[in-house]
Amino acid sequence: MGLKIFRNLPSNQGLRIITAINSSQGSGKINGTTKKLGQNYSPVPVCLFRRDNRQLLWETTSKADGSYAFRNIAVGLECFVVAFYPNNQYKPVIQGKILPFDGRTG
Amino acid sequence: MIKQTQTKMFDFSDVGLDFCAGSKNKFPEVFKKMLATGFNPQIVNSVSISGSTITLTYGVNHGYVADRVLQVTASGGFNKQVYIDSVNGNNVICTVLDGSTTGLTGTINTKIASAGWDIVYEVGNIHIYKMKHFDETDRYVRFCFQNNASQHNAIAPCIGKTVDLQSGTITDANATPVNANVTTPFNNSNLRWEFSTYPDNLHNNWTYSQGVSEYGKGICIGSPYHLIFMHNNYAGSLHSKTVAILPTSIPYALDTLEYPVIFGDTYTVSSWGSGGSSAYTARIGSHQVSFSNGINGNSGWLFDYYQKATDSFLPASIDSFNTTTTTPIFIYDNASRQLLGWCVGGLHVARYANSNYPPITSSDTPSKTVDVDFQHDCYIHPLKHSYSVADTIFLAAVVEEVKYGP
Repeated sequence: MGLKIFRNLPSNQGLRIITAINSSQGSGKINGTTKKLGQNYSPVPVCLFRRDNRQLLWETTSKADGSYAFRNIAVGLECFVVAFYPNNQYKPVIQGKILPFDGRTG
Repeated sequence: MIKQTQTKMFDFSDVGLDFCAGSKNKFPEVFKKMLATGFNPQIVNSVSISGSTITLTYGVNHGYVADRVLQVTASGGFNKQVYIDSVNGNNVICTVLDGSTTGLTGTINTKIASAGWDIVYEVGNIHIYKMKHFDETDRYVRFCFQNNASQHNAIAPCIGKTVDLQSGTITDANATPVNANVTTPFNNSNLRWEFSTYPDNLHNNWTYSQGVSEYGKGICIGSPYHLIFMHNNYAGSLHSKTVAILPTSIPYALDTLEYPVIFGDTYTVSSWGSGGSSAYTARIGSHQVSFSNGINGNSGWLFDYYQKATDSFLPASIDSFNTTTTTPIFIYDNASRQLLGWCVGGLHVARYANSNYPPITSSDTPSKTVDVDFQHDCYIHPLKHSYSVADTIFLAAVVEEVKYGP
């Protein structure tokens, strides 16, 4: 009896899948960058809200390069983002009326 | 997302299929369409090309939908499978994966591409198809469809290496037991693919829309190397069924293990009730295997239904946004529960807990999601041991390429 070696699929390392448990969730994504005086700035707490009822959906913190990303958002759901300066030096920055893009295509 | 054409997804509602889990008279026809011939042929009015993106325009309502694979043949010489990105009225926008559109001229015909199996025998309720084992050698799959119009809808499948095309039987002694030459799908506790629990002839020719209130949703995912059905055999919660043929990675070079794994129902017909039973079995050739590591002893359980996650999501310190992980399906020798190998791809176990799990009612499952890293479409479907979520695991069928390269 010999042994055979097969190439492995990436998915056999285990997949990470999105679980949508309410109508605010889905395959949509929102990406952005936190900046201060035009320069990328981090770490900055960033919160994502539904625009229609102001419900908090997700919270994250921007990475070292200032980038942040939300996923598991219903495609087409109007949202707005609030970024909070650390230590409360300045007022929060709001970006309104953001539409998530379909995370399957981008 | 990683677009690919090796693995196809079909919905029971697709134009050209239009069946439900109970429409047993349609099953031979729709199996042939999904597995071998393709379906819904149309003639293209005009085409526009922009790089690897082609827009096919039809003069009629074509019935195609996004995320299917289209077989496109043109009198100019083009003959490829393309991925449908989106549909806009009579326009179908597709991606040619290798980027070459040479020959996409003249008369252009399209149809939904099949899973890539060959039908080699077709008499009455018996079909035999040729599919590929993971090492590219041929395997024959015999389906004995339901021929009793007043019984519930079931199929007796059999996989073997050799076939008699005169008698329409599998001749391999190591094939799936019992089913090699059966003429009706019920043979005590043989391995079966159960689709409906209704023992009558009322649903035999039902369309999808006629059956959706009784059976809910249903999908088929297949490639030359695998085949998965996710459906419901009755209305309500936890009437979900998953049956499949999956490619395997078994390191032992034994002739008797050189088959894809097949799993399905195995409860005795006499114990059949309104909801059916929940006894499943799996075979590699004639060898009985299990996806359970034996933690429940040799209980006959196909999966470890109780070995569930304690939370349906990774902790926020690792990954936010309600992210759930999956595990490969490991294959154990049924008698000893020693590890033989694993299912190479196509189907995984999603690690859900007893809360925050996907839909379990027939009208909502299988439910669709995507994986985070590759953006493949994933279909999640419960598989129960009893009518309790605590005794239920969730399977994730991924529309992914299951084999790379030769």
